Amino acid sequence: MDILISNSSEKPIYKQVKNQIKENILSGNITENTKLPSIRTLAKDLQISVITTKRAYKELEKEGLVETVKGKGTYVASKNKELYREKKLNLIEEKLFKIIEEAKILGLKSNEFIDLVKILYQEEDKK
Amino acid sequence: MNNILEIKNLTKSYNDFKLNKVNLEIPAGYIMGLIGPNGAGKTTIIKSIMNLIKPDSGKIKIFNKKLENNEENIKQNIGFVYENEYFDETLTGEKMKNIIKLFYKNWEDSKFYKYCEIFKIDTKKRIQELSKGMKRKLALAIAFSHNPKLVILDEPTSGLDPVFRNNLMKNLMEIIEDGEASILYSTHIISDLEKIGDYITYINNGNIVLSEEKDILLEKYKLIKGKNKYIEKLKPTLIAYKKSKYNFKAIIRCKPDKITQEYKEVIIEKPKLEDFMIILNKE
Repeated sequence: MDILISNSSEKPIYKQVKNQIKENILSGNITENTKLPSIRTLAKDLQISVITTKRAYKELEKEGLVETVKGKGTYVASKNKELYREKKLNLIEEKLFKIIEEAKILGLKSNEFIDLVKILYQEEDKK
Repeated sequence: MNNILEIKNLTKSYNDFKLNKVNLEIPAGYIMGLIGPNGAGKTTIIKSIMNLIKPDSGKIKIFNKKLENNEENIKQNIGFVYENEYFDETLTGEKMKNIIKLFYKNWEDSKFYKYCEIFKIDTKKRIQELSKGMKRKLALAIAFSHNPKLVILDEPTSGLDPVFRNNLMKNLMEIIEDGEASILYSTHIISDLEKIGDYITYINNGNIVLSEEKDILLEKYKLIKGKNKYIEKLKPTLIAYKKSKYNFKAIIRCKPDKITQEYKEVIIEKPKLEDFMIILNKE
């Protein structure tokens, strides 16, 4: 698993770490029940503070992506992955419907709309 | 949480300087950065912890024990590096180590040699033949070799190159990795702490101005820059500001959106630790 940290990004470091682990889980790069490195080992290897790393793990736990077994470590949660993805996809669809509705009111054509999305997508990647 | 170090109301007066009711806590397994300008009181705090000066009032507990009754026992578990080394410079590093190790029950030669190898210290050379940076590295190797539960560093990286500083941060993370040891790191080279520090305490003129988790400091506070004409209106929301001829810089703790809406010509940025130090410093 690769984790890149940008110090100039507006995104706080805990979020950068969280998002990248999340991507790895959702893409299947790290599979169910895989043990994640301990908070302190990951902090050491990334050279970021323990508190920052703790927060990233806590957020992943809140989203149900990982589970912590006391005294044993943190594991990628089982089963939840597909459910999670489905739920998120539904949410995105819902939001998109609303946006498309507004775009239509403005008279935006579908290719114009898609171009706009493409530009914004790239900008988000740069963040 | 289990605290490695607890300081309560520490006060010490000198003719021209007063350390004023300082409170400080470091939980086990974390790094606290002590930052502030020269003469702010950082070294006075450290000397009090090491029992090298006698405070006027206040309490210091280390490993949950009172310092005054357990000094010997406590110091067994402290590793420290001061701004200057106090070696007998006519000795070789090896001989110096052999003297110092007698004081520590938990000394491990293998650790010492490991650090000497990492730091590339020639222990056969007399200390006086070593460069300033090498002497500092020797002091660090010695401080780390008896499994300390509290590491106290006073400006440990001044005069050391960025590559070494970066490696040192890794060594410090290794020391706290098991969650039992803590580090008090006093410095004005703030970039070191920007990465690995868990807590930041900013001290100025003997007073603690801020003491927070680093992430909270960098997230909840913003740096704002703007035209001088806005300063009077904004003043109530500013924690501190610095004015120059063409603009001002300030630290705020509130939702910055409101300010950008009202005042179009301000810039709001994520602060660096250095910004806190510069803006909060009152001359």
